[in-house]
Amino acid sequence: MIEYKKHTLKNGLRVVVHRDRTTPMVAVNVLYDVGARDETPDKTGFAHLFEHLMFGGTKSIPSFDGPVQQVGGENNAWTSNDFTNYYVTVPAINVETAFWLEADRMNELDFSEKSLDVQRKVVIEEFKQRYLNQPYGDIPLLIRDLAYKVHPYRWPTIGKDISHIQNAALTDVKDFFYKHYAPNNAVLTVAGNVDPDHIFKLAEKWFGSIPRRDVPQRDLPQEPPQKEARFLTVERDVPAPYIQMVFHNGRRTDADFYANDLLSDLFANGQSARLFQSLIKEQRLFSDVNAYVAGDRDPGLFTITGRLMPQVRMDKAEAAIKNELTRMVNEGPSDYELQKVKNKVVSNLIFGEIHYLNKAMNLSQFELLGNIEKINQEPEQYRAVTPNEIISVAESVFVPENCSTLYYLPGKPNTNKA
Amino acid sequence: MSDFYHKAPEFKTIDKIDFLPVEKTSLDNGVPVFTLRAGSQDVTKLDIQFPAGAVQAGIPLVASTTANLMQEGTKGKTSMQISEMIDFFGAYINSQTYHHQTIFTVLCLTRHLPEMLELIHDIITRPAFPEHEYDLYLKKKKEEFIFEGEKVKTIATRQFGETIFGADHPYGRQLKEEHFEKISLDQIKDFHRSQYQPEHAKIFVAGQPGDQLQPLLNKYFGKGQAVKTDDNEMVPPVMPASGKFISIKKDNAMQTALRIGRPLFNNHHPDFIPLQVLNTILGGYFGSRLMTSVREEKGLTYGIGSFIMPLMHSGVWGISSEVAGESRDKAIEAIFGEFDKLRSTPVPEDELQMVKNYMMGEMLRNFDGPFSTADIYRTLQEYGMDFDFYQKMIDYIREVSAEEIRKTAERYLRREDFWIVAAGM
Repeated sequence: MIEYKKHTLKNGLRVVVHRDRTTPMVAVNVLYDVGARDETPDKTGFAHLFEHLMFGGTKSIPSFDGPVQQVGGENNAWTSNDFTNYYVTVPAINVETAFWLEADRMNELDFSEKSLDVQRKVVIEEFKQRYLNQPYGDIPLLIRDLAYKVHPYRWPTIGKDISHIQNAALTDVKDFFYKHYAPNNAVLTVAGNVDPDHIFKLAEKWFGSIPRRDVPQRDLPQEPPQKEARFLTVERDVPAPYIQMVFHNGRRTDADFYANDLLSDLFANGQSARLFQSLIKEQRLFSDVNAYVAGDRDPGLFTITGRLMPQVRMDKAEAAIKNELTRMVNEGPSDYELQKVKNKVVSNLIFGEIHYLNKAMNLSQFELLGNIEKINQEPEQYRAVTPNEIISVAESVFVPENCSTLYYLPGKPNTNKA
Repeated sequence: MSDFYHKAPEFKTIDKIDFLPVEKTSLDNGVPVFTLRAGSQDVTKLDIQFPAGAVQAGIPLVASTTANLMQEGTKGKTSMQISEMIDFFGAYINSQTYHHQTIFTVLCLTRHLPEMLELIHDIITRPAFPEHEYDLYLKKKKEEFIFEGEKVKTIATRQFGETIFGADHPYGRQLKEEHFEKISLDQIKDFHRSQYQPEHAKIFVAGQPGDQLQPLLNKYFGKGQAVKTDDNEMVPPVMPASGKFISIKKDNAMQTALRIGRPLFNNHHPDFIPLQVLNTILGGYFGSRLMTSVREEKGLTYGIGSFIMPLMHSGVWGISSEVAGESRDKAIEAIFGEFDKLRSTPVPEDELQMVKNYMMGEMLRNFDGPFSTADIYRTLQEYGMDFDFYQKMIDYIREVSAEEIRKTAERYLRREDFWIVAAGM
């Protein structure tokens, strides 16, 4: 149970406060309602590049990091397809410094060619480090492009192509800022050893005068239902074959999200889960397997991955995965098995309530998703799922025509086969 | 309007850290228990430490394989039954093998402590070491080893260890593919028998373990005579490589992983604390000299950092980064350029003040909550120290001058004392 207080400023900024008396620290978290899904197909990777530029300084405060470190703090940020999230953690006595910094950069950035030029290079190195110069690193690029044909989820946050980053111009950057960075498009959450009333006053003082901005209504092309099974085979310089299967499922806010999430846990959460026991330990086909749901704001993906043991044929490995899916559709989980994954989820939710920064990020996301109260209803939602609901989700998701399969094989580097 | 943001709010510096109190007790047989009670949730983390590290094992792979296989079946439970039980209680049990010890960690809701303690006791005292689990474990581990070896950063890290300490030194010895054929299940069983006597344990508890902790621990770990273990295995002096520059080419690499470093000493040395401050300035935080120069000014990398790692009988100071392949030499020059600046010019007052404040905030962060405090305490115990060490560091941080830091740099940041390992283009 996370207690919180909430208040909305006149300019539309939503402010959430959670008091945690067990820490001397505080997290100030600003979540903007913008992500890679808001990019256009010819300018991908922009939300993330922009996140880097948010640390490039303003006319009033030339360095963002300096003052944070000066008061004993730390800061960072991340971008996903749905969100861009910034956080500062500081000793609670210095919380106002974080307000000053976050408000100033929400008000206006100093857009400089120099900063853009350097961050372009940094992001290109990040692109290489995480995606291109890493065994299996380009899978997110390949699988999204296979599973989505229309929706902007078809590219990852780093972008579709390095050239989009290389070509980013200063005018694009300015447009992006005024289009998405606004008090009425953000949630400010403060979690730590602070008094909520004091925080609301600080919010008014520092953010109150930032003008509301005209944030365009989001109108994304929705992905039509997939009607045919899709396949892609690539060869790369990797030590072992790898398979990834993705199925379209639903949104984070759909009623059946909890059944979807537990379904993936039945397959792969914990060493006793089905795929580990069956595919790794009993049949010895894989050295590694995983299953997870994206939980995105628009309809996302149910993903299953596996790295094959040497000498195992791909068709055999794939058949073994499919066999597990069919078994779930036909028989569902036992009561005991479902209880087990529920216990695990509920205790993980409790472990997740230990850290103030984690709580700040979660509160922000629930508020942005539309209903912050739901954060405390999660355990109940998971507990309520029945074996029949698991079966019905499995039935609707694990349909061959709803599946995109990537075969990633050892071989000559960088050749794609249709 | 924007004038409003010109003036920074006032702030306070942190000049004191409140260390959580550590309860020191012993079980009936003398096994020491250190408990840090704090936190808002009824959650307990238990670290059980045994003198069963890679150094005691002598051969790579033996110590970690023993620890991992102990969880793959006991005389009373199969591997599957063990994982079912851990998952059903929503708990975590895992092991981590270091140079001089292996630590088993249990994280669970406090109300499940009785079941989890019974299980961990079974794992530690009655492992069955089934042959088929051993085969499977080694096969998977080998796959993982090969897979990791495809990454330039892994290639560089493995080579760096050998280079700094020596390929035959206990701290430098690296796992090789041939070790997978060399070890045997009998070695594993022997290692378990000699190193995992429950009475050799040291136990660290953090969170809200409730008032049944002591009787529970006594029930499982308080029997048998505690024997004083000899933790001081002989570790010879380090034998760094003779060549100072080692480059490994990997086909199709787009980046080069750099590891630059030198052997050092551990936290008992009087210069260890001064070097913490110097290291922070050099590459220990986001605003460090290396991040500023190599990332923010030159855009040659996504990240670069420096670290000091103390070891029981040695230590290492290193710099680590993945840089644009074609810019390798430029990056190395930029790194050594920062050495030279720190040696020749005292750090400006405002930078020094910022680093001091940052380090104090970082310390407040590290000592926040029972879990991370217990981890720090456990490490201190290894070196026969307690929180006084950090009190000394706080006092030093408050007092140190820019000129003292420059003198430390002059002694320790000589480029000819450093080894360079590059893997990639």
